[in-house]
Amino acid sequence: MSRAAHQPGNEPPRDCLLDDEQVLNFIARGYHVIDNPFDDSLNAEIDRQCSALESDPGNGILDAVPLLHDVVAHPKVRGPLVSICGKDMAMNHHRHCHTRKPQRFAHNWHTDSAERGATDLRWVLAMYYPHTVTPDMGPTVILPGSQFRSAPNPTLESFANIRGQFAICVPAGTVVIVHPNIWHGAGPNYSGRKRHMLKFLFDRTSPNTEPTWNHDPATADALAERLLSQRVTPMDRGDVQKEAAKRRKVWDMLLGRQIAQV
Amino acid sequence: MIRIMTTPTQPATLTALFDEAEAKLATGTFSADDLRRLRTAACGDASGATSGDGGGGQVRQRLLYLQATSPFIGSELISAIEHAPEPGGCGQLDPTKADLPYQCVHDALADGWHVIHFPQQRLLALEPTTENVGVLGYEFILAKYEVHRDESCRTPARQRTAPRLSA
Repeated sequence: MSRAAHQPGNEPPRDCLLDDEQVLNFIARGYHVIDNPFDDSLNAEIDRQCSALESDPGNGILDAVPLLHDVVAHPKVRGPLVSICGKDMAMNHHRHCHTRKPQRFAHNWHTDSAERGATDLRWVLAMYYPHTVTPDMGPTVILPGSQFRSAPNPTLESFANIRGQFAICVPAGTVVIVHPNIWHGAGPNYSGRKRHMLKFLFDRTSPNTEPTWNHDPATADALAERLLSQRVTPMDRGDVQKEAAKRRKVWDMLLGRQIAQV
Repeated sequence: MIRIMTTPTQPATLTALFDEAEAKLATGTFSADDLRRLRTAACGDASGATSGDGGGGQVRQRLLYLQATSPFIGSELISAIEHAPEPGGCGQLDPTKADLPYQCVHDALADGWHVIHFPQQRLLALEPTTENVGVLGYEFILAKYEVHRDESCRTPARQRTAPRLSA
């Protein structure tokens, strides 16, 4: 468990929280990118230690690479997590160091959650990349806006490249928070080096009774009207309204209008 | 259209084989082996491929899965994946090759692909609910047929499956 992330009263400063537009875009697109907030030396050392691991320690990754505590406890990381999962969000014990060695096989599309189509947003994934990721390095690929689709994983395996997919090719130190039900996979690693992605889960532990981000009631409704109906993936026209309704449920839940099941 | 793969990099067409047969008939050199080759190419009879005569081939199916935004064959494509009929030819997610080969299913038809599976209208009618959104797109499966005469047609097809790996 993180040394700092769960201490009561250890709230991130307001300027680290998301605003309405960022929260609404997260709801619609299913991801939020945090630009590198760390010293380059921290990223480089974590990259070095991950490369030295013989295998993925799974839940023991924080013990194997203790510098990762500084990543998950950073206010620029905690701020978005608190904004999405509530003030008392907690890091789940489940975590991984996913390393893709050079190989010509991709990892097929899949989702990590069995609760397909759910709108309660009980947890999110945070993916940290300690080194710069390029397209030939087997990047994680996500499909923005796919998080509400009731698609069983075997069905997803017949897909390859999908129009609108986002290959997470980012500078070292980037953290990407994603909806647990977003479609994701990884490309082949044609490069000569290992590609690391540190995956952490963060749980909502109580329902929101009020917004936990920088909310502005004066402008939020107009923003919500526009951003909750945005077309993110190329989709059947009949799905547009149904997806907008699901996004609205999440927005209402985060505002505290609708109680989340935790 | 059936493509004739004399070697992995040397395709020919069925028309070319008929042209060759006509030329041989005209000169009186058309043989039983030529007839067997023609039968193999036209009918998919692979017996010639294993008879040791060196003239036959094996008909193989190249597959193309297309996901479209509607069951209409002119609708925009969402996704495409091509599977080549050879070991290691299984298509896969690859962000370094993200361009789709066609804009719509009809473009693929115009390029010689045959549709062998259409979206199931009855199932589509049953699936949607007032609330849920299902899997993305409407799936068409298309095929092209090729005759392979290369060495690999004598070895059993091995389906390579990507191992379970991390994202």
